[in-house]
Amino acid sequence: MAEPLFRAEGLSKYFEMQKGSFARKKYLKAVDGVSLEIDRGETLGIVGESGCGKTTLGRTILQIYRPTAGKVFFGNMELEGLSERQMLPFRRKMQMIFQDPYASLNPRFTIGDIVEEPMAIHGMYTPARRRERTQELLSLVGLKPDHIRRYPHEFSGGQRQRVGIARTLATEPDFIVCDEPISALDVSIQAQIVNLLENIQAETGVAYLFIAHDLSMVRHISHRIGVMYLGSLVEYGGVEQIYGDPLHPYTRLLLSSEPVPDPRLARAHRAPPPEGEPPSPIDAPPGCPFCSRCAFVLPECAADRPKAYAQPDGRKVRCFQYSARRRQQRRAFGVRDIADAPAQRPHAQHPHVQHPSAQNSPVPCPPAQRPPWSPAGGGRA
Amino acid sequence: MSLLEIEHLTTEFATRQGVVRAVRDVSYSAEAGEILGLVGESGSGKSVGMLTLMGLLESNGRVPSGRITFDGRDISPSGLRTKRQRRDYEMKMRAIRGNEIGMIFQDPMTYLNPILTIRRQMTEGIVAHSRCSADEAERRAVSLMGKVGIPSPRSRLSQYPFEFSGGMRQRIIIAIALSMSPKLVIADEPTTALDVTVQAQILELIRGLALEYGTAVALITHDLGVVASMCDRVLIMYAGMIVEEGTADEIFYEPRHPYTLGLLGSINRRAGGLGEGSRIGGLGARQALTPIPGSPPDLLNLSAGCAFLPRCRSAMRVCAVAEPGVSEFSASHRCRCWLHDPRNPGNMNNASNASNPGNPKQAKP
Repeated sequence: MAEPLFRAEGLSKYFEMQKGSFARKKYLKAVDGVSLEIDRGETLGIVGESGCGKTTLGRTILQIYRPTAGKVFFGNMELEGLSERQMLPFRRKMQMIFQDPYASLNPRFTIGDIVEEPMAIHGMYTPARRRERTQELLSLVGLKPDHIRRYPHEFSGGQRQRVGIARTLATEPDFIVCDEPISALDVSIQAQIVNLLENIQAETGVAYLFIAHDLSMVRHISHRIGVMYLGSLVEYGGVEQIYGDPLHPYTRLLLSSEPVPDPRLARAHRAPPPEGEPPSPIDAPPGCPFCSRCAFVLPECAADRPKAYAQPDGRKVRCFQYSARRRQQRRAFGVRDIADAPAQRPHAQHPHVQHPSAQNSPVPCPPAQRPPWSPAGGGRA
Repeated sequence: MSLLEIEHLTTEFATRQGVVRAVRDVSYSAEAGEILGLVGESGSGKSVGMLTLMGLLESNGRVPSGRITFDGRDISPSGLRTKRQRRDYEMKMRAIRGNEIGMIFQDPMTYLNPILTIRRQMTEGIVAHSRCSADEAERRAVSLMGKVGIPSPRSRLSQYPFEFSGGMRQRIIIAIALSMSPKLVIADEPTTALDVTVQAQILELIRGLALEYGTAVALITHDLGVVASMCDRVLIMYAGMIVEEGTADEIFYEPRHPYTLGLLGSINRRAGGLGEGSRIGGLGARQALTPIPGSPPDLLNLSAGCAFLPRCRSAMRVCAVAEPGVSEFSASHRCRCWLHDPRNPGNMNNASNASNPGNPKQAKP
């Protein structure tokens, strides 16, 4: 198999949280053991709730934050340990589109200066050619070449985001991290920007890491999806695999929470709302970070952190329910889905308190009746 | 008699650059127990309309025309000439605000005062409106907090807002809005600042409370998913005007205004969660998004004619000349567009086709 454009292995970024000089050091594990790869011309969508480490992941991948652990490969070159100077050619190939088009453009620069600056930094072209190229880029993103002399405040949010995209494209990157590029924009403008990003990808073959919390837009633009929860990728696979048949309990929760823009479907799938909120990522207890909210908790969940188990369809799921052993057990009992197995223990239990029934039945029993809390609409007929 | 009736309401702001008409000739009504959605992009006048209703406009705001009737009483902020009229209006609104009309604001992080305990913030309104004792107000606050799903409410009363998560803060705000069992709750983007899983909890809470108390809810949002799952009726606003009004089904399945069509084309309708193409249906190919070209208009320099004209795909010559009138499709479904005007020869709702409205194919000879 050909080398992917970009690959991360066990990437982690911890932030130190210190209270007083004698206190024990605490760590916020913003990104914890993330492995992913991105091919040329591909879009990998990263979804998750706020605070799950999406943005930190994007920044660690671009080496804006130096990772605490793990390896990052661009092509076949490892980026770990490179000096800033050695990084420069890679920085040119890896760019970023920022969330807030109001904060990410220097108000004292003209549009022309903003778009031209990265080319000057990387010593690309002659000054005259750079001007020309700036105008080409502006028309590529749907602005007029004579906007070159205007200032950011003269533009609307959508137009500013186009300027940001033009700046990103100036260095001809192979890989762009889009950090919530549309969430600050109005609905009708969001679609314009997404279409623009797609057209650019079709033309130049650039790869995107598309970070967003808008699940429907991520589904639209992505080829593959990574679902993040408290710093780790809990499910990672093809877009239709994940949206069509979510495996990880958190993915199910997330997808069933998203309101569907279709009144009849919304009425048909009115599910009881999910319970609980994500715990604090600071000094997280051992065990699966999701086990306090999980409807499918197993005895081992509170003690150990699950690994990313590869599934037969190629995706990776970080959940003990999908370990080879558990899958085999389910097959043996003819249970097709974890929602079809009876409850191991009640949902609202504290994660670190062992429920007596959990010890008695570590093996899922054949389906007897549907547990009342299994996600509505999750019925596999 | 509807709970709330608004007729021909216009709100203007005097700015240094000129007069901005943020709400232009808006008329609608809300029934008790109904969830009404107000949808529009930023600057479409959805929030200003609600602030006008509450009498909470900034000092440069004016209401040159319009009539607001709430629960049989006239609370119009227009035509207040003398100081006395203004004072009477303010006294009237003070008795209504937080009492008969509750408000839930967008940002739970900034709405609560960070240096006051939750007890103080919860009981303030209760004491002011019902003149009960502090103990009685505290008892009511505790029962309200239980109702909105805050665990161990008594112990949390002495805590400060920073000790609550975003979702829990939004629950506090909902509890405050509901503390006087209002007849109408205005929810201005109540879940925009929240994560989807928390959003689902908060929306379910608002829906449940509206059902339980028969409270009318005016839900301001730009998220069509939220609208589809929550609202009975929907108003689509553009540049300060209501361009289309109808039941949720009419808006989503028989949209008439080009702007509504554009909004629906801008989102991935096979969207998100357990929608079509997910578990139930087949997996279709990716649909292309058809965004609305251009950007929302500058309310300072609105030209004559329809405000949506520069972005409209089906614009006609008349659109630049005059503002369109209102066309009715059913008792609940109205739209402001020349395409549907009876005088438009290509219109499918002409008298000759009146027997079969709603099917454009049949209108063509």
